[in-house]
Amino acid sequence: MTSTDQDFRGLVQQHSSMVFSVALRLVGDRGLAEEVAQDVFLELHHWLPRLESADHVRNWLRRVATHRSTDALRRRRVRPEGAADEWDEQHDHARNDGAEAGAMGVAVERMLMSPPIAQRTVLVLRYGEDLSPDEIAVVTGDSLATVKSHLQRGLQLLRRKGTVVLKEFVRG
Amino acid sequence: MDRFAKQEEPDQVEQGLQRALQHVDAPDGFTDRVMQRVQQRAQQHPLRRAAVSVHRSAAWWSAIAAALLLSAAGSALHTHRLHMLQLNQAQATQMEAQMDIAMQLTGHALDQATDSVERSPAGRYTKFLNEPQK
Repeated sequence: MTSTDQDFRGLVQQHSSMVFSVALRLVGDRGLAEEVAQDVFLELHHWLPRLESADHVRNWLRRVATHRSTDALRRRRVRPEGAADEWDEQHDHARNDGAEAGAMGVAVERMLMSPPIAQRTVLVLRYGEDLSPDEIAVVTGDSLATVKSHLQRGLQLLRRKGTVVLKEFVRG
Repeated sequence: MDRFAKQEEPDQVEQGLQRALQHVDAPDGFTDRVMQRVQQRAQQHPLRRAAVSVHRSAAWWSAIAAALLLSAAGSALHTHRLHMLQLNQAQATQMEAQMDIAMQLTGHALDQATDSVERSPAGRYTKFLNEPQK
């Protein structure tokens, strides 16, 4: 695969949405997510000659975006729970007044920021990237049992919170 | 029950997650900013790039230096202990030799004393008493 500027620009355009979305859902901050996504593509530029196919590139990007997001959270000690409100506001704006997802989607997004990073990563890869537990295990480097455990715990937590949110939503 | 492998119908929370986690577009100008950084990096002077690389690997070098230092300290401690052990062994051997000489001298002195006693009148009388009667 050649890495001329034009080809590379095409790759960035093709995958920017996926890389940015993974980073945004994991770090919960648009600025930091963009920084992470840019770093991921710079890294891709370096590694591109060694990647063998389009699938390889996509999987590589997903894996590196996940790891770099986790690194960024650890490094900057950003508390996504604290940034969730700001993110919701910015995110709703970017979503054309939130028409696509609606109030339920916003509530679920806010809830998604509450599980620990390991559970959140698995949830994002499962429901955002539509990966199977086996594929998630390859991305995160965890065992299949660990991935399933994170999925179950994360979903349990979201269901618990979801009940409260839904009740408040109905009451409001 | 492995509900994730069986692809059961997603419940309300899962449906909400799928909807909420749909991809969002990267901010406007994202691709241009990435390409700009790529070009900046390509234009960087090779020496500067090498310097950055060295700087980034400074942490690794520090770790390696610390490991080497610890290893050297451990080796020095081991050598010191070995030296002390050898010194103690040499001292023990020397003391053993001195003890042997002292014992030999004492034995010799005792022999002389015994001779003197046996040669004295009292000694001869005692010897006479101890000899079997013919």
